[in-house]
Amino acid sequence: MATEHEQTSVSANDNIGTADTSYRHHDIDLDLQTQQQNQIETEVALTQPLISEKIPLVQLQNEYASDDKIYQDKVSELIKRYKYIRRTRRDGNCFYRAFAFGYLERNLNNQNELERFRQLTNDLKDQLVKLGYLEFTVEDVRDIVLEIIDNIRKDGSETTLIENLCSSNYSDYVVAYLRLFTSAYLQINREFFENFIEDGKSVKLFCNTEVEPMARESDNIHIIALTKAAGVPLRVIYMDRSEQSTLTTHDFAAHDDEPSETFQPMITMLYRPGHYDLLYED
Amino acid sequence: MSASSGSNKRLMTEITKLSALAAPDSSVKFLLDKSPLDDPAAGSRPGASSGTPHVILGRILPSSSPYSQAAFQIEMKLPAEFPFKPPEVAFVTHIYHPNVDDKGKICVDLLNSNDAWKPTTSLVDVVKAVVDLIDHPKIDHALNADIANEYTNNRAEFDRKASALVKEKGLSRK
Repeated sequence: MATEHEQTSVSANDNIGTADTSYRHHDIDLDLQTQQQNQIETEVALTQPLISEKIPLVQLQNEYASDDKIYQDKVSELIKRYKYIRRTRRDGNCFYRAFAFGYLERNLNNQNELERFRQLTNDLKDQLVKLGYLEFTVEDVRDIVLEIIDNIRKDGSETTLIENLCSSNYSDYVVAYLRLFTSAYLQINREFFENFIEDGKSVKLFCNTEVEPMARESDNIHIIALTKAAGVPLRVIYMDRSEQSTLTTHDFAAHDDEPSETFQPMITMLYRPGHYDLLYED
Repeated sequence: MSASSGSNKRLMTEITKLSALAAPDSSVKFLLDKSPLDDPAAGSRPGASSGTPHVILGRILPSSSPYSQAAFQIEMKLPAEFPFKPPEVAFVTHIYHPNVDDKGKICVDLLNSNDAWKPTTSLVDVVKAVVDLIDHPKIDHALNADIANEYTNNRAEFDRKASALVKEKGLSRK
């Protein structure tokens, strides 16, 4: 390419004196940014599994300084209620990955529930096509997810679950599809959700930039949409630096008219700023 | 592993759709020149396992002047993580345009993995975005300040140079 350029009779350098190097810096900056991002991603991938094994929750104490009273008190609180934690990789996809793993793990031997979810997974494609999505790319993602659900239904073993959700090739398809579940629900209920989006962004724009692209982090709005779309009750325990020693519990009901007294979560997550992990009572 | 045969199925459908753009009534004009499916041996090995990215070559046919006089070959490199990471797109044919740099690199929002790329974006969408950019230059996102300046302040000169390069380097539109 470079030699070709020298041979041509035209050149950008014909215009002398109007050079402004800020545009070239933009080009270099983007390259550098991408390079750095790739480096970080590779490092994360090498040191953090997508989903870890079940770790005794007491180990969480080691994550905070022994004299960090606020956090140590909260960890003690947490240990009273939960026994294990599974860590997820910090890659912006942790909410969806935790949701997928937690849901499937809970329902490994529940054929009815898996069938219900399989049906929803199947039907989502048509919903998306109706919303204007390209059929073949949505099908591409859906078909892998269906395959994973079928693999799990077949033998209901934790090994199969881990094989399917802990290798990035398969696992990312599930994450991508859960993002589509979330997006479709937001768009179908846009009049309601419009009120909760910052900057007056339209629901469609929000979905395009904050929901569907991989690695975009999740907020309450994403959680509400996915739990409703999938019909899965979820409990999130919030642990942050705020002064109160009690942990905050957020319950996300699968259906609007569910009474809070009888709420039973199918999945429980621990939220610490920017990150979601899975919690287990046993 | 089925996930890779899934990505092969996706690759095959993408290539089929790209080939279909050669039809006279297609919404965006594109002529597929080379794809990983051309070599039967290579096509059966997913890019991820062989380690080399899949490369697709094809010519875009812009409709704006002076680019409507020729076709321009672009290269789309699919990373191993495709479709979770976007393809890398660059011009193989030399083109004089505010949004294409001297290495053939272009800046298309759709391909920005931080903002817009989604696993459901197709390669046809990518081609459409590239043609759209050529036909409607974005001066405030120019990759080359000199050319952008010239385009804005001395359009006649820009047209002369762009035209000359099209005549010299442009490919056949058939």
